[in-house]
Amino acid sequence: MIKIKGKDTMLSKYLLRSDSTAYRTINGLALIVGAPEGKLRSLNEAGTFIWEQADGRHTLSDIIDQMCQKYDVDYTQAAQDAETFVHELERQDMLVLMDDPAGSEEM
Amino acid sequence: MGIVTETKKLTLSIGGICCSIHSEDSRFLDVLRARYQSFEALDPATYEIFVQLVPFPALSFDNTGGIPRIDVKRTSTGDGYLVRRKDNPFVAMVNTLSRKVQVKMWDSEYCFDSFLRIFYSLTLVDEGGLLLHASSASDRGRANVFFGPSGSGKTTVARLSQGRTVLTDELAIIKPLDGRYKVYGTPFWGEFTPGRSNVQAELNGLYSLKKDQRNSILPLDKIRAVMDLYRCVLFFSDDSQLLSKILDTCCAVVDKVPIYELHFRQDPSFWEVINDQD
Repeated sequence: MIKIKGKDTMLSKYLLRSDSTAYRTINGLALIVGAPEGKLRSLNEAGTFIWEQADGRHTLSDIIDQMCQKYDVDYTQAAQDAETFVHELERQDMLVLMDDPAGSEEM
Repeated sequence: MGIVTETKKLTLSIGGICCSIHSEDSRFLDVLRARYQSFEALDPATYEIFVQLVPFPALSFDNTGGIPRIDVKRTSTGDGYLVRRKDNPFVAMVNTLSRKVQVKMWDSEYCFDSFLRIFYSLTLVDEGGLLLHASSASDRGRANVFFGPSGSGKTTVARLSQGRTVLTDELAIIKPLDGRYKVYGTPFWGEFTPGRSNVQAELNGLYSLKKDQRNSILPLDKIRAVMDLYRCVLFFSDDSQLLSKILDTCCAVVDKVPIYELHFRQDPSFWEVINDQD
C-alpha cells in the first residue's frame, strides 16, 4: 500500500469546517449549507465521515487512514476521491486547510 | 375645543406577527390599506415600520457597484439588518432589539410589498417559522401545503381546490404553536387572487409538487424532505447564523409533519389520493 505524504500536499493539511457553514446530520448523513452561497447539499457516507472529522485536529491523511480502516477500502482510491471532495469544499469556502492544527498558534 | 390629530398608521397582522406602518403620507397608507385590507388588525404591534417616501433619484444604486439585486446584511453592531433592493428599490434598517424599522422607498405599493416579503422572511426565522413558496388549502381547520419551485403547479393546485378554503397560491407562512405547526395565508399572492383572506389552519401535511399524467403520493425520506423544503424557503440573506436557523427549522418541520412527493394530474382528482392518505 503506497501512502503519499509531503509537507506541501493537501494530504498533510489539517481540515477545519468553516465558520460560515452550518450542518445537521440525519440518519448518519450530513446536510451542509455554506454562506454566502446558501445552497444546501447532502453528503454521502464517506463525505460525512470526512466532514465530521474536519475539526482542525486531523490532517486529511489521518482522516483517510481512519476511513480505510472503517470501510476497508483501498488507500490510493480513497485518497484520490477525498482530495477531490476536499478541494471542492475548499473552493466553496466551506472547508479551511491549515498547515498546523487548530489552536496551535496559542501554544 | 381640542385638536384631533390624524393617526397616520396602519397595523397589519400577517402570520400572527403584527406590524404598524407609519407614514406622513396618508394617501400612501390608504393605498396600502386597500391592498392589505384583509390583514388589517387592531392588535398591538410587535414591529413599528416608519416609511419615508423619496423621489426617484434618491435611491439610485448606480454608485454602489457590486451590490446584488437584493442585499440583506447583518449590521456590524449585531442588532439588526440592512436591507436593500435595486429593482422596486428601497433601503431599510431593521433593528431587531428595538423592533423598529426605518424604510426609504419610492412611492410605490410594489416597493412596499417587496420590502414586506423580505421583512417577514427575516422576522420569521427567529420565531422558528418559514416563508415558503407554496400554495395551501384547508378543510375543517386542517391545511395541506403544496410547495415547489416556479412552474411546479402551486397556483394550479390552488385553482383546483374548489370547496376548500384557499389560504394562498404563492407564499405561505409556517410557524410553530404549542408544539404543532400552523399555516397562515399571506397577502403575497401570485396569479390567483380570490380575495386574499387572512386564514390560518393546523398544518396537516406537506406535499412536494410534481406534475404528472397520474396521481400518486410517495413518502419522502428525511434528507430529501429537508432538501426539498429548504429550496422553497423565501430567504435573501447570506448570514450563516440565519441559514443555520432555517436549516434547523426545516429539520424540525420534517420531524413533526408528514411530508410527501405528490405527482398530480392537472385536474381535481389528485384530492382523492390526498384524502386516502388522511
